[in-house]
Amino acid sequence: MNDAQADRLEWIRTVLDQYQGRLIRFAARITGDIETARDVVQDTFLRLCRQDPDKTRDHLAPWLFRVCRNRALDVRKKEGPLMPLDEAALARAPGATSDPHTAVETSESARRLLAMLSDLPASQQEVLRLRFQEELSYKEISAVTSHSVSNVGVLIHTGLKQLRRRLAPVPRATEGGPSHA
Amino acid sequence: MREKRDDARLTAYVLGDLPKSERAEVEVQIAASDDLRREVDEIRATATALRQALAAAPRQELSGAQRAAVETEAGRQHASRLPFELLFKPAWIAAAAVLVLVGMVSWRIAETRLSLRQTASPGRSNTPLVAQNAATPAPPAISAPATAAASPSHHRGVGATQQTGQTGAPVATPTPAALAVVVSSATPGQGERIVTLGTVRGTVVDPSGSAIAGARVTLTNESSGPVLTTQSDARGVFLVAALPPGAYSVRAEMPGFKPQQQSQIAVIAGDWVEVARLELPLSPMTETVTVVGRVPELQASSGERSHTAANPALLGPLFRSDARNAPSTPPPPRPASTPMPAATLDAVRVQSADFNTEAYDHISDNPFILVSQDPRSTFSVDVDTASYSNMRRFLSTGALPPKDAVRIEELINYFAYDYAPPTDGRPFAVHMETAACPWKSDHRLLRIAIKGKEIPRDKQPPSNLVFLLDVSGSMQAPNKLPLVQASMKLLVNELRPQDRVAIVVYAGREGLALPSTGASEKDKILNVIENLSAGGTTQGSAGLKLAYKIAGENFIKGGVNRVILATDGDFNVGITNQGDLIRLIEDKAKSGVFLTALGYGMGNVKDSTLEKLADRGNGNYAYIDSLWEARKVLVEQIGATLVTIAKDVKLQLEFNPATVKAFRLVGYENRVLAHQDFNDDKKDAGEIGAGHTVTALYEIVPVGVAIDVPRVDPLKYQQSAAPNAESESHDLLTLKLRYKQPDASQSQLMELTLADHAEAFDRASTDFRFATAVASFGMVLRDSPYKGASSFENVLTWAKSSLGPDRGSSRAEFVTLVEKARHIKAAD
Repeated sequence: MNDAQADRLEWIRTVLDQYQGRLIRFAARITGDIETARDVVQDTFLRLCRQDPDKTRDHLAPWLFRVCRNRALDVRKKEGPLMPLDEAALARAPGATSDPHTAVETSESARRLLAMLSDLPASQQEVLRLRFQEELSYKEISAVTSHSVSNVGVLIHTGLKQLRRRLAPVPRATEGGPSHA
Repeated sequence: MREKRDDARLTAYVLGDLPKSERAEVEVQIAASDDLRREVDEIRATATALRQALAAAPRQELSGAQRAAVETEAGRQHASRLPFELLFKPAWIAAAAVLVLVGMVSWRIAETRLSLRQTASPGRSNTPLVAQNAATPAPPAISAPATAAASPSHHRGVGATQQTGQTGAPVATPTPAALAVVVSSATPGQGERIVTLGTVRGTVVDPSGSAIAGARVTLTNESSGPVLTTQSDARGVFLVAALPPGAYSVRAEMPGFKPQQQSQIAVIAGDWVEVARLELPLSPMTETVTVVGRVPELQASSGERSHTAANPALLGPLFRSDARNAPSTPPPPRPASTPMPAATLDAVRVQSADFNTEAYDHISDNPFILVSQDPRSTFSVDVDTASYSNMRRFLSTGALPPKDAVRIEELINYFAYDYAPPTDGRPFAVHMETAACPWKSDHRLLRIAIKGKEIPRDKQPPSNLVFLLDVSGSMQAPNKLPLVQASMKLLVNELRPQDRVAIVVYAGREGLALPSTGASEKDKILNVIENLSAGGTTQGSAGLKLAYKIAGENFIKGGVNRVILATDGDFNVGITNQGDLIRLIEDKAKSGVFLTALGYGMGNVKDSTLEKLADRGNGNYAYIDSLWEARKVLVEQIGATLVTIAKDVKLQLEFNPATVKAFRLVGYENRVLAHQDFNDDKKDAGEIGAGHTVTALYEIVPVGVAIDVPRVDPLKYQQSAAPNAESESHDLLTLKLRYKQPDASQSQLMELTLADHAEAFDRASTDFRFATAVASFGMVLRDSPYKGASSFENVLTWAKSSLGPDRGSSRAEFVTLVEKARHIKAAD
């Protein structure tokens, strides 16, 4: 194996470590089945291997999520949609490991919030998750979902607003924003 | 129509997704409208809540075979690969931008640099999931132009383009001065109400330059006080966005390291400040803690990733060049499937709506008692600390704790004090000190200080531990069971081969998850802990019975026999009657099996239940709000937590009527005993662990000082106690202590007397002054009728001048908490 190949393998491994969990989670929401999601993600990475890395490197996340999404949608079309997996179902799925790092002071209200999220239209849920779970920007989400950037903005805005309404009364912001100014 | 569009733009603005060109315009509108500012706050709060809720998602991985297939494919030779050098050629940049941007946004040549920066932002997402999650507690506006900074100047340059706002006035964003001009022209007379926000980002590293994950980072506005506490992510990076402009200081701390602070950080509106790296020197005092807390794999990976993370826009090439520069560096390890978090879990939190299910017993402050009516005071020691961490949890959610959640003695006893250990063969030493009372200048303060003998870890007796872990449905929240698991792993890692662990879980029904197992089989124990999952309702009493049964079966004579209960305390099935539960535990304590209660979670904490259980079960009670706290209780103070050196420790004071007119025990309200219980060896009292310090304060009214105490009528038939020869002395009081050896049933007696030397408060020992500051803080929080001149300001003055060596920096944290409380109070 030459240097370039070694570098490439190392890069793929890094990407795999960084993205596999997020992509499986994302795909599972579309396919409704964790094993199918794993297959989809394997396929996504195989496609990444066949790509020229320099064409994906600088927009890796949108590339991966877009390919993964399209692949998952293909599979769903072929095999028929199942119930989308919510967070609780994902946690129960075989192979799930919870991560104590994430044990950041969420609360009963967090579970309520997730339940409300599951009641939103699928398109809103998807962009909200991409924005707040995967931390993709509006533009990246636009690239993944083929919604226009302004459409992404409206979906996120509407989704957040729905959650806010149902969450009311909204607690005072605690992170020292302008409320302290 | 327009409003709708503006709404979506407002959300985009808060999330940092609004193009720079439109940002200034929105900021002008926000500056002019209270409604919009409220809206901004609400959007931000919802975004934070959503992030936190989603952060708890479980991890999934590809199967081994799937991964192997991908790696095989990656190792294959592929044609048409561009050399890396081409990456930076302008032509390539343009090409890449086209590739990315086609079908997404229209773009102009002038924006190429900006676009590339934005499209490169997946670099930020390129951190492993662990890092993502760890980054989540950072404040919501983390998505402000969130490409990590290569250098401050880089960011400073970006926004300096002139745009035309809706008002037609030229809008410039880079400096507050420029914006002020615009704002005042758009909305005359409101120029001072600028809400444009800035961002601070920095990295926490150890002396070798490796990232420190999970460092506690406190950001303080130098004029208005603490703003928030967050933590560094797996790359050692912290990022705080949406800050009002001003001068800030940043403090980073991590157990095992000396904290570092940087002040005079100027946050400028609409700009991004990169703080110089905070390098934390090793702290020799707690070096062992470092080793335990920071798992090598995580350290390695975070260290390595910190290089790439600093330049996410250039992730690929730089990553490679790093690897070349350090050929011995192994490929980045896969994130351990169960990384031991090196993290305190304190973070920005959204207030839970569920507080009202928490249960606190009502506390009335101990009153002043006239010596002429009752010269004696009897109470039991208390080594619990739960109230302190619980109070901290409230403050970090932006709320003051309910009065009844504040137990002053637990606040005082949370801290370690440098009391001299015993030298006379007794299990503990007792010291007394007096000084002027700072919140009531004509009163005196008496401090009773108890120090349990230190037993080095290798000399501590073998332990027979039974973990009794609540895995009921209510424990499912991420700050409950996962934190319990992480805590228990910390503890297991502290155990020695001669120690034993059994694990009992309880939910719908109780079960033995692990029979008593030698700690030499650590992997086996850790594995069982790892695989626990939550579900079902709590059947606490059956679990308790089973745990005590297992503990009894594996009893080590002369050793530590202890049930460690971890729960949110919601015993709602089975023996729900608290009295029955307490009787059960009391019975078991007599058999020599003691109890440690660890409270977890929020919104559902049955504080009163847990405190009583620990009290009656010859045990201690700590509230674990974070891994930071778990480490303190289960690692740093493992001896004090596990090894009891004296039990049923009671104190009785008799004050001298010749010198003392009245006295008041500060705190210990639910530890006060009837006088006759002092000599009654059947009456249970508190335990002291190895190395424990216990502190009690009395406020004393000297003879000759007026005091307004509700008086009962003088007795008609009784002779008033005539002063005898003893009371002619200048003694202040006589202190008697009773205690039992851990396995004894008969108590031993100690007796000391003390005279007051009229010391001024600022001449008192450092520990005395600090404990006093903490007590005073507790009184302010409780709004005690006896608080006198206590105030957040005074507490700060007293505490800041008595920090002492502050190992583990918990006293510095106290100062931050007081400032936070003051801030919350001021905002109300």
